[in-house]
Amino acid sequence: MFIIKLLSNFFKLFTKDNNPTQVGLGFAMGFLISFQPFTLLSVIFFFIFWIIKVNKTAGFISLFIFKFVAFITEPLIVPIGSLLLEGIPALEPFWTSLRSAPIIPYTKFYNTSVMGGLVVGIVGFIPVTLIFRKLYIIYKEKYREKIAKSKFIKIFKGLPIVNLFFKINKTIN
Amino acid sequence: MRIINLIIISVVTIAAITFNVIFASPIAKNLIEKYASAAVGARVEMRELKVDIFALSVVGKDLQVTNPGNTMKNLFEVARFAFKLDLLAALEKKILIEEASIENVRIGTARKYDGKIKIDPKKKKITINNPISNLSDYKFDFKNENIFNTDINEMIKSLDVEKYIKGDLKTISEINKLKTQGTELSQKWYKTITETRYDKDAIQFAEEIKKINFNYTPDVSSIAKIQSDIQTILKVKEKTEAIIKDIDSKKNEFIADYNAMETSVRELEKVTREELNEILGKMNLKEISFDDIGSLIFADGFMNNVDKITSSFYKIRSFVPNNRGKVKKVKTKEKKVKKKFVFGQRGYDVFFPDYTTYPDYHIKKISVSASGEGSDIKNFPTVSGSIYDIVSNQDLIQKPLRIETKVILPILEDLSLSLNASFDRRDGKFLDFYNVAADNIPIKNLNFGGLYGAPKKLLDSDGKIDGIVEVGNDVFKTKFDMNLNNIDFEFDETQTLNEFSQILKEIFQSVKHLNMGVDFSVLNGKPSLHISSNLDKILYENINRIFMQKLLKFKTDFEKRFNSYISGPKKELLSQISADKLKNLSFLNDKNKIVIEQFKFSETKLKEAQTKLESIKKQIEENTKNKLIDETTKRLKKIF
Repeated sequence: MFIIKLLSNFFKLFTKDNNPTQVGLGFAMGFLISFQPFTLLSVIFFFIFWIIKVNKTAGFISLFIFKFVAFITEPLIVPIGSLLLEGIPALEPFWTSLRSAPIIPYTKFYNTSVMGGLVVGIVGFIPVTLIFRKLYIIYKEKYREKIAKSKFIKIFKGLPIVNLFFKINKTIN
Repeated sequence: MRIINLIIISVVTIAAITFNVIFASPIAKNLIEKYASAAVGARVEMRELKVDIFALSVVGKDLQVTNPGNTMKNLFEVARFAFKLDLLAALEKKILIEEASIENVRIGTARKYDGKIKIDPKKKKITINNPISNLSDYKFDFKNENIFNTDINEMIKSLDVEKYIKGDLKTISEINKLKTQGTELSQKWYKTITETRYDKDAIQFAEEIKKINFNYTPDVSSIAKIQSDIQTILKVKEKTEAIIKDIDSKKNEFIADYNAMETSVRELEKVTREELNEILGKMNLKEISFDDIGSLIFADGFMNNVDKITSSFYKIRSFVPNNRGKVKKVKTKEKKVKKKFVFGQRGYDVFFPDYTTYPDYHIKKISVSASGEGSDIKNFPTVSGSIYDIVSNQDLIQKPLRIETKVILPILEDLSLSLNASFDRRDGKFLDFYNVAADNIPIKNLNFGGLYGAPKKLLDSDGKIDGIVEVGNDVFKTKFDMNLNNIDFEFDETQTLNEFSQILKEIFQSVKHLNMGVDFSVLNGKPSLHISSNLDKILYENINRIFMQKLLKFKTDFEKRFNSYISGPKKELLSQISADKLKNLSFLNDKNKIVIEQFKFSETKLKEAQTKLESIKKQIEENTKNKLIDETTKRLKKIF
């Protein structure tokens, strides 16, 4: 049911009118989460992503895409985390106090990959939001109609399995 | 959809609350009872157990742990126990208890029903590691150390007690010598005084002088008498002077004898002092060192039990948790090794040396109380106290495990004893400290045997104990000070005591305050024991005092006896001599004066008589001449 709902939303993202900012934020949240290994921090980010009003489909698409990006760019992310955790002695007491604090160590902030990913995620959050908002507006204005009327989509819509999917989705709703 | 979510959340919440309120406590109670019973091998049960999953608190009432050896009795019973876990620490899978309480622990209470359980033979018996099996390998063996002179026979031999008991002492022989000397002297002078009668001579002389008649007639015949009287007077005078000279010589002889006697007494005093010092020296009391006597009395008992005493402290160590979990590391200046990045590996953890975390478990305080209520054990002590900081790793909290207890002992008239202990495992120290203090310990009716003048019983005394024990891997130190005040001994008054035993009795009689310190340590396997006490001072002072008293008494007795023999008659003699001398002298002087006057008078008369005689002679001669001339003239005329 969740998959049907997800696919339905996926189609909705590309066919219906969505708030571009929410789409942009969804992508940004996906971007933020994807640069985090599975830790308490990623759980918290996911929870925030789940409760705030953003485009969840955009978020999942972003998560899917940026997970690959994060995996490939790992050699660049780790030095950033290492720099922050080890390269600045002035920050060491702060990290020590965080390490000694309750619960916070579950975020594994002391891991270079987590810290690097967090920095990349926070730094890239607003640019990613703005870029994907803009891209979605461009898509909505220029390409959505064309794609909807394209032969590929017509063939796709005519497929029996797709028809079945839409029927089930209609029943659920 | 939202309603469904709400319903789901509500159902889950209600289920959780219901579980917490209704099921959690009985389930926990059953599980604890089941596993604890299996572990103990007899029934473990509680009347009530309240578990609050949300508050993370546990409160149990009337916990009974059956004695597996006697299932109609409990090993112990706890009226109430309670603790609360810290939520944040629990989130880190750590146990943090701010305060726990175990109230009214009673040992050996009777059960209302049998606490036996059926043990399934198929099931593997749960074995609990006996912490006693993890004893330290630390072993004490002092038998070959030969550091303590604990051979009582050797000690007695060196002290030559037999010799003193027999009275074979220089002092005694010197006293006997003095006694003989004194007797001889007194006899000699008694005899001399008895035999000497100057007064008889004086009376005789006086009589002789009295016989002299100084009324001389002025004639020639008196001359011879006067000369004879003068001779008599001179003779008496000479004799009197001889007596006086004799008295003086006897007096000088007596003074010389008396001085010799005094020298002998002084010599005795010297010998006694020397011998006393020799005895005290042998007893090692001269330097006021209690080592030998302390070792003699206490070391044997102490050393025989030292293994037991020390090993019990090392047994306790096995109950104290050793450090485990994350240990705070000391900062080093070593350069951090750069981690080599491996593709696909998600970074690496950076280590912060100074970070601290919750220990695996930390019970900040446990209040414990125990009493003898319902216990079969007679005079069960009442214990109340607290245990602080039971922790998996003391380095994380920088505090040692501490125990503070107050114990009231009914067996000793409700004596209050404070016992504090600390177990330090920080920075690999592994040091335990114990501190015991008690005041007003009633020490009564202790048997002493009553032999050789020793007391039969210690009737009463107030005791005070203060001691510390330090137990480490390579060190064991204990220092105990014990003070006894208001000591009251009971002696066997019917016992016949020789002089030595009498001295011993007097010493014990003078003991009113006694303190003793035991300082025992083992450092790197080398043991040392020092026992100090004021007993050495008491012995020294008392032996000294008693010997001096005895000497003084002897001296006084001797002087008294000597004086009664000598001094009385001496005085009498001297006064008699003096009186006689004076009397005789004055008499002689008086008589001498009269004699001299009479002599002078006689001389004058004699001169007068002589003059008269001369004139008569001349007259006679002239008359005779004239007569002769006349006669001759007449005859011549006649003739012629």
